[in-house]
Amino acid sequence: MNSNALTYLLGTKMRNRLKEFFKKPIRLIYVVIVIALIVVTLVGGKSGAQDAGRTIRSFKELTAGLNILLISIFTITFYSGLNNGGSFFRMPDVNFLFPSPLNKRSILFYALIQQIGTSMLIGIFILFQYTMLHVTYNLSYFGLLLIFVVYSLTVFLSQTSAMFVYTLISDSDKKKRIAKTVLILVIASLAVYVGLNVLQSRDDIIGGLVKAVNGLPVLLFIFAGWLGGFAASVFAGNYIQAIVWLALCAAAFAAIVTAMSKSKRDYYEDVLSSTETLQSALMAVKDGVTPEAAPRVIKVGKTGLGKGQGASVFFYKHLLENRRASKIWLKPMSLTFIIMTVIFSIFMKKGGIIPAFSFSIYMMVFSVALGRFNRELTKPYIYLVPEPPIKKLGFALAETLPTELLESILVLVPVSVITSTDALTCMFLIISRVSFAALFLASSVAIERIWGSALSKVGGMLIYLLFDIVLCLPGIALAFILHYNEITIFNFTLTSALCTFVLNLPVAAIVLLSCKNVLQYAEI
Amino acid sequence: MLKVEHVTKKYGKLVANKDISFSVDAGQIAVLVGPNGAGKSTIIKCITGLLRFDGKIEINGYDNKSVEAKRLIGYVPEMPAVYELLTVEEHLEFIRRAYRLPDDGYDKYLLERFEMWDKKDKPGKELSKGMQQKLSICCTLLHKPSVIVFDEPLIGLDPHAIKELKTVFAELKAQGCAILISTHMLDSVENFWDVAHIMIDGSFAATKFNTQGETGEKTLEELFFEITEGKPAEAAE
Repeated sequence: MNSNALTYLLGTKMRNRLKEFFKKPIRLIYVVIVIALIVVTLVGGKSGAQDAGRTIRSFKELTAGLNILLISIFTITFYSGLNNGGSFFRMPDVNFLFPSPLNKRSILFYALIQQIGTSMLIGIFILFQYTMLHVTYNLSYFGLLLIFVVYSLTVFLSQTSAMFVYTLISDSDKKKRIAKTVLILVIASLAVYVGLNVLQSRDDIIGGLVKAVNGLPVLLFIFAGWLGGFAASVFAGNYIQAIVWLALCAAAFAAIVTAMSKSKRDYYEDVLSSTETLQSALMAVKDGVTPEAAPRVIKVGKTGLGKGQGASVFFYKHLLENRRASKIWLKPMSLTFIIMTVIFSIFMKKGGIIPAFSFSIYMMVFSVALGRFNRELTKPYIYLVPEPPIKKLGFALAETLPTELLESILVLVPVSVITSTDALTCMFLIISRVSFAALFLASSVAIERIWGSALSKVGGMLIYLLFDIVLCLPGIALAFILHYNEITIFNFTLTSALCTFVLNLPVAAIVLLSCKNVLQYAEI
Repeated sequence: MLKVEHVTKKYGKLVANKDISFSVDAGQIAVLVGPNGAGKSTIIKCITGLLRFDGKIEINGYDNKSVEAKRLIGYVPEMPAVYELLTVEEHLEFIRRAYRLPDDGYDKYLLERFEMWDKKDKPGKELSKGMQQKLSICCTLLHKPSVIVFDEPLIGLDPHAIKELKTVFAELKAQGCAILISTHMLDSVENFWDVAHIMIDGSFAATKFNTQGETGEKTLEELFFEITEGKPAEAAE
């Protein structure tokens, strides 16, 4: 009876989700495009690699990178779960299932099954890395699938572990502090272990780093290390060892689920707060508001805007919001992107700065989309303030450029050092990157001007990506034309940076000027 | 005053507002009542310039999208419009600067009146829904608009705040403001309205003037249920 109701619920939700694709064709189009892009990446990556006379790097670098990725994602998810419990549930589950006579073990299994799907969706970005991984490490399709599976499992198991630990510590702040301290100590010990190994092999830093990160102390890290060990064993053809790692994961998972379902304390209260937080975030997204990536407890510090009159107040408000959102001014997401790009450049060092630069531009597409300007458009004030629309638009956009300049410096200076790029080229790449930010902003404004809120979130993102590509084309095309005709200023990289900068800015300016009345013809 | 002439708003094939015309005079309180999905919030968003529409809307003779009109209109949205990272007091400083208002202490007066002064250093993110709604109301009143549009203003407010807001409605009316209030809760508007428009399926099904005390007259509630429950509605006044 119990399982029948939950099976019915799961089945019906899945069926209705499929039906939604046909009711809202834009979602179907989005899925088709994503699948098409994955296929292009998989097929293109393989055929592209055949043409290139490439040097294949050590596979151990790949497994080391995978270990770092898995441990990072586990730590971030687990740490965040220690604050609020994390939750696999949605408000309807809380309202309908928790008070029902269904037994709590069945409800837990229902949530776990549901969560596996979500975790796999989170891991889809891995599939897009095929070209890079195949060219660099000769990774096969099976290898890519294996990485995708272990990544999704790590996400899932980190959430399950966080939920379990939270049920044990939620009644006491002291226990929460102890749990966080233990996690930090484990990570710090691993960092010290890796650091010492790197110091011992100063003549081959990357080699030392790779060896340490593939070492047993790292592989003993709960779930993330075990799954990394499982993947490495499969890649090495050591299937018995792979089974041991997998059995360890299965045993620990079974122990967690048994402990949660047999515990006298139920987990209902523990998941409630995070479910409510998730619900308000979902509601906000439904209302067109992107939730602010702000700390849980905001440190107010100095109060007051202090400056600005009329339209310019939006600029000063954005500066204040940036200060409150992060101690280091940058959004946490931007910081993650910077670290990812720097790590990427270490492994792609031989390819020069262009791959890392392109990667940072790709990441910027998303950071600009979630920037202050797009958030401002979801509140009525920018439309209501009695100032000329073009002035409001200018000041609302103004914060993005210094922020992106800072981000560009933080990402491209270390990347230039790693890839031995000269200072002048680095400087031109920085200004080129800022010009791409202007372009992506122009793209957001154009979409707002044409469609307003008439687009769904998915459709909006799809069109935004399409607009970004189209607007980037003139600069990239000019760079290719000059390269084809062997016209270079100093070097190829600097010439390409100059081309994109020279064309991106006027393209952005034309788009912005043609949409100057976007705030007058709102649609929110 | 507020003047709405032949406004139609479509979302693709869906007609959210169909040829709506009405006006709210200075010193008048108009209410828009209707079931969920009747199109009340849509016409309000058209009036405040947040949606594109066909037709004409004027605020004291100015086109509603003009800078002059924006100076005169105030809007309290259904979802409180609060910045998560700004403190309560900074919200009012932001409005004061954006509207180029003098720093005359009116912000403090409003916060005290809505019992928010002790929360002045709290960020928007940490306010309850009711507090956010009160802050949203204070932000709207700060520039002393002559036309004010409230979209479901009483939802989430505590009894003290509801009482205070009703007093504010009366004061604004006495000062000559044109007030438009949208609600689907009939008992929340009681008898302080001058004219009520009953909306169904994107258009006005009836308009009733408040003629309290006249014998034989249907109450707003009676008229509303007669229309929404499908019985033939007699021509309203």
